[in-house]
Amino acid sequence: MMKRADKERAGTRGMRLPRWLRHLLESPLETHFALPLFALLPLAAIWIATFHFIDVERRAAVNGARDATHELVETYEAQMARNLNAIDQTLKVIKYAVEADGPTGALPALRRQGLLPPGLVFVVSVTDRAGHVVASNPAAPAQDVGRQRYFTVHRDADDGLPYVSKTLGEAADGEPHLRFTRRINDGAGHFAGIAMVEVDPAYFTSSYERSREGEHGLLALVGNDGMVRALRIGDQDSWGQRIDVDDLDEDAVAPDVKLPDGVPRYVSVRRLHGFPLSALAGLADSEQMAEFEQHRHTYLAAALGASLLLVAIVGMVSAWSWQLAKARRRERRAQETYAAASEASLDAIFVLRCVHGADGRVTDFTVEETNRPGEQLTGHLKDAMRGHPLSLLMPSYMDNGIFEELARVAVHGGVAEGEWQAVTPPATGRWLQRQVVQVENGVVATVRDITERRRSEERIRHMAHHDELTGLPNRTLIRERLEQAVESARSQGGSLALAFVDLDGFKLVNDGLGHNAGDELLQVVAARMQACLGPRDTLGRLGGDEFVILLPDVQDSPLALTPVLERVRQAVGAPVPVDGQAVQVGCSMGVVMYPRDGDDPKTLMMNADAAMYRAKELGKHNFQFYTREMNASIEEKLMLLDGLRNALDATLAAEAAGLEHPDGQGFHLLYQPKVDLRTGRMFGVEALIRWTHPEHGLVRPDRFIGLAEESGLIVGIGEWVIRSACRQARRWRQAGLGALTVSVNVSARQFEEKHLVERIAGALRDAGLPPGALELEVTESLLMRDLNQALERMGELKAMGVSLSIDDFGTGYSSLSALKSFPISTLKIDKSFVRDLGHSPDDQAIALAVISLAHRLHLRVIAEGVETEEQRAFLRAHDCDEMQGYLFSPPVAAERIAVLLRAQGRPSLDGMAA
Amino acid sequence: MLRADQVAAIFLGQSARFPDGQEAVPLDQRLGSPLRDEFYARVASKTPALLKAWWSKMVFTGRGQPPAEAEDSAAVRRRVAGNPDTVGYIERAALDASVRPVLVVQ
Repeated sequence: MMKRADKERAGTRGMRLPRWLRHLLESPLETHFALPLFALLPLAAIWIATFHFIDVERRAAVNGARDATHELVETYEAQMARNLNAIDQTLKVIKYAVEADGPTGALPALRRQGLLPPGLVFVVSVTDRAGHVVASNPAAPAQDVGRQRYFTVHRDADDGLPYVSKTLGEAADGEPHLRFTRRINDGAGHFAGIAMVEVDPAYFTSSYERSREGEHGLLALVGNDGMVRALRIGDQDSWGQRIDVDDLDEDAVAPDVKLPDGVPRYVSVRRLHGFPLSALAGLADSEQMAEFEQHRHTYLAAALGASLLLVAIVGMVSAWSWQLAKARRRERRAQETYAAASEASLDAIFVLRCVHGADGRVTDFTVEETNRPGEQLTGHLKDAMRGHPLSLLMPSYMDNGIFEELARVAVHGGVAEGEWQAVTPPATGRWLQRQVVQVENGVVATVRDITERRRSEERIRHMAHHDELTGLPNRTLIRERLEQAVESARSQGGSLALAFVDLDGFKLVNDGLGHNAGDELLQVVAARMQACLGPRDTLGRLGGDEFVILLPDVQDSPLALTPVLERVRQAVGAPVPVDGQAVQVGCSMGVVMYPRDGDDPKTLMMNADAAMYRAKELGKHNFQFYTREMNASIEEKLMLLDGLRNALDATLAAEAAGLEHPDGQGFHLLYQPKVDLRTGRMFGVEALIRWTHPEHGLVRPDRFIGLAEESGLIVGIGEWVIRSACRQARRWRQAGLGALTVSVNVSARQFEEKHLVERIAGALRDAGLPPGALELEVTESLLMRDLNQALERMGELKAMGVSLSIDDFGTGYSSLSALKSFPISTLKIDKSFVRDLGHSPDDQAIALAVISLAHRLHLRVIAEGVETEEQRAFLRAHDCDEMQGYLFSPPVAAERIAVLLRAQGRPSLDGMAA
Repeated sequence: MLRADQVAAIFLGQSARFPDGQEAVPLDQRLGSPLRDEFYARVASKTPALLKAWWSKMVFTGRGQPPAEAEDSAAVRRRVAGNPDTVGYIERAALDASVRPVLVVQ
């Protein structure tokens, strides 16, 4: 069913042809359709001609048969007439002789005269009037024929005519005989007997020639009574049949089957004179037409052969043409597919055909096909390129090696690939990638613009080797350059210098002003350092605030390096405007030289690191050349770390055993009293850790706390401090020494521990101490590391009832707005401000500001490191709440605190304090 | 001397002359005589029936008449001796100097 729309469309276009017909009409020139159609014409001609010739031949054959029959019957008639005439002559001679010489003497007389016919063929006899044979030649036995018709017919009538008997088989010899008789009269004219000639009927057909009449020809002698006297068909003689001669035409027009054997024949009949007989001659249709039939078969076979040949040739040509058309169609489709694919491709595709020189070598290529990207790449239109030589279109490729590559692929096959940078417009400067494959007598070159890819690769390579923030070489590239520099220095016997640079105070900026400020600072510092260096020198960033300076090719003298290092130090040390304010950082540099301080990059870097740490230890913002002793400090550090680990294990083991002091090789706590400035009474203590190394004795906290932080041991150590301090506070309370608060320092690392709050709660619970008796001291910079987390933690601790204070206030970059939201109870003025409080107006101003700020925020203020009466007087005069320091007491053992507390119970202490 | 086929040709009316060009008039023995039948059987390879058919055709078509007949071998010899053109056949025993044998049938 056609859809409605289709119907309408069909209606407007007129009648729609069937698909196959349209197909046929649209391809009239396709040989495989046209040829078979045209071949029908010769085919028809062949068969029309064949049937025409056959028809002509048939008519000729029929005419020939008629003519032959006619001729045959004429001849036969003539022969018959002569023979019958001779027989009648013989009868007449006998009759005459009998009438002259009497019946017995007649024959011998005639024989003597040679008037008798040959006895071999004819038997001549004479009868008397009764029918007895009285004489015969050749001699024959006497017989009586008186009752035979051939006798009686003459006896009974005298019509003067000869008589012909029917052919009869003789009883005597079994052979048939035909008798011709004539009446013999006596002198009176009465019947005297008959003269008779007997002949074998075959005699009358003996002229049958197989060469003429064939196997089925016919000769016959037939009486007018319809009775056959003699008949010969082929070799067969017979007689006695009936043939109605009146039925037959004198000359047959067409084959006739009226004769007894039913074989179709052309038959002619001639009535004979003198006897009631007719001569028949017939020629078998099949034999007369045999030649024609043979010709007909030949014609048909030839026509059939010609037809088959024609059909075969046409079939082959059509099949070949069809194959050709199919191949053409396939090729066209392939070309269309190629064209579509290549047009859709982003790559430029060039199909190039070889141009051969006189010596057979490829001397040029012609552009056979290309696509739109090909146009864009070359700046030529497709049609302008097609068929033109490469040497004309893109001359630059003839001598930049690419032509040779194309020619090589065209001749030897294979695939060639390569990348190059275009030098001709419009693609000048673009990076291109080519892939060349062989095709028949040419190549196909696929060209891809890989500029973007190269750029991103370049970017990635740059990123892999450079620091993102500063754009400086990163650790990987530094290592590579260092390796190259070492290699080069080694081979040339030169020297190089490597400096590790670590910024001092960067942490404060980063923690205090935020990461963006830190990043800005790093960029500025990096740029400044770079400016101090020569073009062959390398400045790299290892990460964080660590930089590296590689100075290849220097004199082997630290002295020669000093100017550049000093320049760097000063450049870094100058104030940097960050985020609207000027900040200042320093740098600690550790410097090594190849080959003095190591002969491989790894050693050099390790030693530079050691030197840099040395510079830090020596008060920062300086540079140190590496010396062998520096490695000793590293060893010491490792030794300390090992001891620290053992000390923690020993301390925890002792704690588990219920001992407060491990035997001289663990940690123990000292307590420094905190005193109310107004009353002079000790109201609390700050717990301070001490470590006695089994070999090195007492180790100062500033030597091991940093190491503990670095190694993470601080977490375990800090917990132990809290537990121990809580237990001690409980002990004092149990001893009736009053409600003393105990302060514990918490490190950043501890504060970030997830379970800090639970553990503190556990320590309080275990010790049976109320939370209000514990105060945690945290540093400003700790809080600023992650403000939100710090606020959350502090909130939890505050909720638990634990007091919080900020240690070292004023050294960091506390945001005052953040300070407002901290749930703290106390601010501690750092000892660095307290130290010069007596004579430094700046420090006095800071102390006053802190006190004022704290009181405005309803916080208490404690000053640490109070060592002189002068300091105490200033603080007390300016309303500072609390103090701690050597003026009152250094950190002491728990027992000493107990003593102090007991002494405080007495009024004299108050007086002293006042 | 003649060959058997030359003799047969003369007796079957196919040739009217001897090979040397001389006219030849054949003379048969009496019809039905054994000598005659034997002669034709051996010289012309014809039975009496075939001979009859042969002469029937010759006579009917008017191409010839069978040879004249003699009564017996003596008559044959006499007539052959009397006429140099005549040729006949007789038993070996009947042969004498009056005639010249042209073929001896073994």
